Amino acid sequence: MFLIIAVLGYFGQGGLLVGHEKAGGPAAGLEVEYEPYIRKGTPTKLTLTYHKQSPQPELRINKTFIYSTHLEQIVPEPSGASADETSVTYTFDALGKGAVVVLYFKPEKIRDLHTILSDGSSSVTLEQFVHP
Amino acid sequence: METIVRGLVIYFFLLIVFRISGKRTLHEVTTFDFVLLIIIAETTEQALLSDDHSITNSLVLIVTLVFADVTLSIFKQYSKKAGKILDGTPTILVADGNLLKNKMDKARVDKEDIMEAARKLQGLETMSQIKYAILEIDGSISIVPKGKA
Repeated sequence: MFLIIAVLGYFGQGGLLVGHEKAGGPAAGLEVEYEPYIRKGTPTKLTLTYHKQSPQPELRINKTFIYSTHLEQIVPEPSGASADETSVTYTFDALGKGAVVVLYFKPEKIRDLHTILSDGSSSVTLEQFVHP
Repeated sequence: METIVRGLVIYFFLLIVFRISGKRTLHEVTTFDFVLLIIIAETTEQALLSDDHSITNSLVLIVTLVFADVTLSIFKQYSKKAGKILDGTPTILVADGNLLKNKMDKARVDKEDIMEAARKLQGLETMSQIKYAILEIDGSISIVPKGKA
């Protein structure tokens, strides 16, 4: 039973039933590829595709994500960062239409990870579960 | 899923490697063999876990390896041929005091190994006192002295 659940992908790292999911899309302007089940302390990533061109591209991440993960790298490297009460905003020099931004991170808490990502005009909400 | 695939690949790779390396490999452990085993264990751990040190990964790996082992043992129980291929068969090295040179070479066992086993197990002093010397599946040598078989 345990092995079947793992084969199906409910313990993370993909499987026959659960693999990489997508949230948002071209219509929303921002698309995020993510794994719904991830593991504590294990490197994982979020792949964001910017479908709209913006003169001042940015990426806003909610506080829950920042508190619950160790953000290791953002590719391409942001040109600036700022924070307010609810989120952290990274700005980029330029991102063309269809540009891809990858967030490499390690989850640090075992929990339901409720992430909100925004490009300034539209936002995408993700639900991930962090296994121990 | 990736963890399961990784676990199964490593399990069957090690099974093949140690099957090819022969029965005597693990039984006659020299200091260097011991160091080599530690290096193999360390390398295997890295290959199995990669950079995923989560409890979930460890649990999935343990269950995968035990599952593979139990499945193989059931398979061996149902198929005698599979058992022979996976575990090998006992090899007669000495018959009526005569060394079976080709079998000894194949198993990488020399006369001294047989005499050592004969002395330790039966207190025998010469080859002529041995009825049968058999290399068992686990790599040990069994001695049947003359007059007993």
